[in-house]
Amino acid sequence: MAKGHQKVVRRSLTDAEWLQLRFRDVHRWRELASHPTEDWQVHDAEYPAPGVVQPVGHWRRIQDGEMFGGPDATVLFRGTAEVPPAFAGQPVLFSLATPTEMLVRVDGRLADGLDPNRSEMPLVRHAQGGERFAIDLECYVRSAPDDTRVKTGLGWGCMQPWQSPRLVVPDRVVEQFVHDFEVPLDAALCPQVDDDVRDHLLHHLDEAMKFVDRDTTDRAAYHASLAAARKHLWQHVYRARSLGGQGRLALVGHSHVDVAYHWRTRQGVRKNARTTVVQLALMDEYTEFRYCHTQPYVYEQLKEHWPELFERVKDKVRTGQWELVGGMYVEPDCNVPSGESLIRQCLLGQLFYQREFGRIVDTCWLPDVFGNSWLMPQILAKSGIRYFVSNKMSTWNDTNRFPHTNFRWRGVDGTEVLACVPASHFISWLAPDQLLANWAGFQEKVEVGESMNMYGFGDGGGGATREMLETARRIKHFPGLPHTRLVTAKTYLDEAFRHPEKLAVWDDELYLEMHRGVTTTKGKLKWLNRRCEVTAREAELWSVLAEPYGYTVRKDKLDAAWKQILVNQFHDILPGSHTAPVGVEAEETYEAAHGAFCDVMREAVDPDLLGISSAAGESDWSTVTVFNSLPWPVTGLVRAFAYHGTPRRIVDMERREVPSQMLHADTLDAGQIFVARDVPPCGYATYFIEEYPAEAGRVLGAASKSAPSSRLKATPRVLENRFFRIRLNGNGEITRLRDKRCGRDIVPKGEKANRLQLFEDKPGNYDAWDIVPMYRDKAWELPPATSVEVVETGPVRAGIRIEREFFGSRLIQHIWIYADVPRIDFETFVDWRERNKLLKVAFPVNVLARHATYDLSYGAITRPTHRNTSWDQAKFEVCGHQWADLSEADYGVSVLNNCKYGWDIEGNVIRLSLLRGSIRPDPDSDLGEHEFMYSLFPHMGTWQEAGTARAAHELNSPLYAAGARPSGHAGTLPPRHSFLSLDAANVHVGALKPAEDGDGAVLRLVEQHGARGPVTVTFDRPLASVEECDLLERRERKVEHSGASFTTAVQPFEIKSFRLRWSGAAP
Amino acid sequence: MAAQQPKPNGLAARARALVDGEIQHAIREDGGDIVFERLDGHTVHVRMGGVCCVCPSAPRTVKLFVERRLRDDVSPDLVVEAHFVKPYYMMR
Repeated sequence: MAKGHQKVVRRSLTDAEWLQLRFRDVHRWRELASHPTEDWQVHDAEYPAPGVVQPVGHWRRIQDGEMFGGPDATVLFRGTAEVPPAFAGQPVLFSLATPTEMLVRVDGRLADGLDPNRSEMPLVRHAQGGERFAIDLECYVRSAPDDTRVKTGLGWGCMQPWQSPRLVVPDRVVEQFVHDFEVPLDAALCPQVDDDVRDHLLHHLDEAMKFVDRDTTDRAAYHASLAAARKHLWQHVYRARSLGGQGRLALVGHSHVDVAYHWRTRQGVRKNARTTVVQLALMDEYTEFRYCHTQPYVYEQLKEHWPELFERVKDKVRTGQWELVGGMYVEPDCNVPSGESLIRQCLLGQLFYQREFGRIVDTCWLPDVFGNSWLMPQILAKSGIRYFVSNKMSTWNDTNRFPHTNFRWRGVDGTEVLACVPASHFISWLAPDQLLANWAGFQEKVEVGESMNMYGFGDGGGGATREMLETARRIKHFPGLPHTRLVTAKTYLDEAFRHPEKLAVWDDELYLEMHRGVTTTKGKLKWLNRRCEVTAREAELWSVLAEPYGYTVRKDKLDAAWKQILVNQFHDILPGSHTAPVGVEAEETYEAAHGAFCDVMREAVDPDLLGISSAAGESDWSTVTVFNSLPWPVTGLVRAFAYHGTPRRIVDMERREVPSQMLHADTLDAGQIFVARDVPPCGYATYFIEEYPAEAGRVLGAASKSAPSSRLKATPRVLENRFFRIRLNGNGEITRLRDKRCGRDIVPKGEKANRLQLFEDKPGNYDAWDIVPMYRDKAWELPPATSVEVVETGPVRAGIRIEREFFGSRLIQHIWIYADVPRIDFETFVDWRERNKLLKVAFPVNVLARHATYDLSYGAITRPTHRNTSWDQAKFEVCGHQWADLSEADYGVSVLNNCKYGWDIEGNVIRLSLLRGSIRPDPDSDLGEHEFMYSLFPHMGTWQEAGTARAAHELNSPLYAAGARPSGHAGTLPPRHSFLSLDAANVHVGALKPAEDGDGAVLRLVEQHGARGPVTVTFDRPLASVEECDLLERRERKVEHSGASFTTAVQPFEIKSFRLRWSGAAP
Repeated sequence: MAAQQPKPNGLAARARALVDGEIQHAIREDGGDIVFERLDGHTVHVRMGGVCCVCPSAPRTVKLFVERRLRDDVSPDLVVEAHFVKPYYMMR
């Protein structure tokens, strides 16, 4: 019987494999000549600050194969490159394949860079023969290339074997053939390419390869065969118009530089230097190359630490090859920073560009940012920015496809910017599948007709390569691929948005359906960021208000502190998506900034400097001046000074005693608190402190519990004041909450409010970034509280202390109610030891609302509480700032906080995310002690009517008591005074700051309710001029004023800025 | 007579301080992790995590960086034994 087909073990090569095999052979001919370099020496070093390299030890010889490096190591190499006489007349390359990142200096000049994506650099264009070059390599050794999708073939790791560099004379003929062949070969191997095109390409690649003489050893003969092969390719592939591609792509070269990520800012700055020198070198070689670069912060660092390089950038900006883009100081997170922070990003960024390059930019360039606040269009437009560019929504959404690529983005106030969200990743190398995917994903093919395709390596910088630029030269009209052209970003954007009326409008935030955990990760950084933003506002405001009284504004100190905040708001720092040392450094710089703002504020709110009279008090009394930085009268608690257990009598200007009490020793602050009533807007009130008369026998409440207030009641199970009656269970959870003002029960029967919930939080590789919707599948009940006790009973406040332990963590919470403030505070301390767990607090409320409102800091946003559609379902974790609210027509409940940003509100349950325990990239993320406050603010009417926004500001910017001083002294200012006030409840003073150009001050008004109407601003001294300005403080129009006041009209959620100068002396 | 408590082992404390301090700081910069576990004689046992679990250079790093530092700064007799614990997100 004849045997049938038998299965064979080995098979023939496919057509493509046969092509690749022959093509690999061509690479043997790439070098005309090679010459080793010798006598290399190595020196370990430290890199303590940007641009600062400190050698450690001594120079020593290094042999090939010898290991160097270490984690996060900086290593120096030096050697001599001597060009052999045989190389005369030829271009010579310096060649070193490395998985590290190197700055290369030739004869002391920073010439180029090497990294996993580039192993050669030009050394001399036309050698004489015999030249000697001193080569210095500044090497940063990392564990892995920044983008591990790029297969370098090089071994990873922070310990690397040394291999001496070589001098190479390239064979340009072979090189050009390689590029000619590689582009169609990559296209042929791309699964997305049309089959007819693939067949055409494979056929003609094979035909071309037949011309190549693979048997000769004579280079001239080889060149001749390559010429014939190239001729065939150009005739039948590159000029094959019958198989024209579909679509058009504008290729925009760039490099995404993470200021910090898996490296600290000092390394990010060096990566930027390497990227810069490499791109500059490419511009000299490829005159058609256009490259754009963002983040004024890194330009600033370049100027400071590599000034010669910065001047070369300026030259290329003048010639038009280097394009400035991105008006924000860094590429910040655009959800957690406040509106004022986002404004300062634009202000400092644009002013840098103006100062150094004579102009601002009209683009916002944020390829990698994790979603964008609805505030942004207004802020961008008023900062001179016309175009917004980001990639994330189109490439990373996990539920819904973002429906636009080029569109009009309408912000919370109605302002629009033109937005471009390219349908491909911002890191690309012009591979066929990337180009095809970009065009396929482009959604305005009819309206616009051309899509933007960014290219260039990034995250750790790098940018474009020779290979990319050679590819770009060959794919302008390539079969099966979109037509391409190299352009600047501005050229593309100006052309693409020529007819904006044809484009769709997206009237909402740009919510990224991914990376939802970053609003909660690294709680300490979130807390520090909020504190810095608040104290920055206070420091600037008081500086301006105190200046007429002799205070010297510390603009330099304020600017330096602001810059520290802005850098820390980078989208891999503040969100928490970074390795441990980055977080340590960020905490240190935030603390320093906070300290600087506090110092400035303390100097400015000095009652003696201001000349505040204390004459109403007796000479043996002390005076406490209570300052209010908010532009409305505030009644609140003031922490007087720690009298170490000895209570004092506190009286107001009329010498009436005000309620006060000693604080419980275990609370976060010790001392005595009292109620300061109706402290004037942006002003102060004076109180006096005296010893209690010995015969009075008065005993204050609080710790002793011996004189409870009749207005406050506190037991371990009940808290009651004139506003609320609260019933608690044994864990400090609220089982019943009655609003006595309207007789309404807030917590649904059978439910528990202030319920802490612990969930498993294992989102996978993006551990610090993500919260996945399945987190709700696994939850743990916290064990019962280990103790609940009453700690204070009034007359100012009453409260209980709850202690709970769960797994390895410990929580202490004080629940406070007040005699005069309709708010319930949950002052919380957690020693957090959990890994991969998410802690939330839940408030089920008796409110029927299909939408919840969330604070955006300079506006508010409503989001559904239902999960009807996939768009609603995707928003299971959202960003909100100081408050969120559920309201019916006449009643609602707000939850306030002083440092949290992660929320989910579904149905009638308001939940705030408190802590996470991610393990990547930082294995100890969030481990340790946390202090935070959240509050319940039930209210009659809507949140606007009830003043939720004001209540949140009062929580975050409490009254401040300046240091005690002797009484009985006259002063120029009365004991009670307002420097600045507004007459509209819906308007807030977002900032009052020294003008950047030193001419007067800038006032920022923010409409908070979504309403419109007039607002009158009144100062305590006459105005000389009022001019409305944009967010770059550029004057726009004069505003009429009358004495110390002016009136303006605000639109819903409008941000308005005014330049002010005063004429009169201080009162 | 009450049982005598063993004296604190200074060598272990110094090794732990170096591993869990400077060395850990440097390794965590890159996304790796190292934690001191114990000292047995002159063998320092450490647990490696994070990206070190998949890094081809990790064994070299243990010997040429970690061990060298311990020998330079603590005792020339120390050797390092590392075991690698893959975090959950690396499990296949």
